[in-house]
Amino acid sequence: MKFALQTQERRLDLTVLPMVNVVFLLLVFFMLVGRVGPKEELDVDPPLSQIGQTESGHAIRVEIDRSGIMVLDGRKVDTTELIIAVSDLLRQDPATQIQLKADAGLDANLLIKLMETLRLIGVAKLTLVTEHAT
Amino acid sequence: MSLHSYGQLKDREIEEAARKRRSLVILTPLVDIVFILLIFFMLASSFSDHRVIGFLTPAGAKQAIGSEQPSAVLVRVDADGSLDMSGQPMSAVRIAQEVARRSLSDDTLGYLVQPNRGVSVQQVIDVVDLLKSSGARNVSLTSRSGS
Repeated sequence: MKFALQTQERRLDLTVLPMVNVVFLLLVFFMLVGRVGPKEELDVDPPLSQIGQTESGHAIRVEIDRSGIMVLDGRKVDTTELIIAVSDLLRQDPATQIQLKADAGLDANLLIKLMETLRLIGVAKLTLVTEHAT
Repeated sequence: MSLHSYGQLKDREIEEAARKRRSLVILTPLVDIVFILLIFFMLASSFSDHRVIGFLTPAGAKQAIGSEQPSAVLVRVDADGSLDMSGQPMSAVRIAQEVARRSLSDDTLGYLVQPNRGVSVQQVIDVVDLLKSSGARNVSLTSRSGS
């Protein structure tokens, strides 16, 4: 009886090993391939583009969804609040980069008006996030 | 050797082997932690391939091209997808040819993309894509005047 129990235990140990191997492989895969970033507040699908370049340097991200709601630092802001926040950032560092993550379905004139406003207050580098089209 | 004592011997051997193995590596807590890490990375990581398109702003453009403003061509986009270049309606293919031709002689020529009312960001980015892939190097966006 004891004998049977032990072989069973050992067999259980042995069948667990391949599973652990697979789990390890999955873990390594997710660690290498995925990128862990800050959680996004809004449901934004950036436009598809073939000419987008890989991001360089640190940028302040502003998310804008389909209906024009803007989120900065996980906080909903209106245009005035955004301008005040960005001016503050520019005062601390005039080279602050702003990255706009706008939804593909957003009215383009709304986005361009915002870009023009940001330029007016002195943003030197403005980028638009796109999804790489294959 | 009786069958009974043989069984006992085997019993003891296995027990010892099992103890030895267990004392070498205790797998269970390790597996637990690996599982937790796996779940964390599965939930937290994103696989979307995000890129960025940079647009020169006047503040940045001044450093890049000096104070003189280069000439620019206006490309308008309509909500139904029709395009016009310098006021003349043109197909996308025609615009690509025109841009390629002009960029051969003057690659500092700027292009201003102006969306009409109701044009989505995707449509504008498509046009920027078209211009840049045809050879335009200096593409900016401008909003509809008077709206």
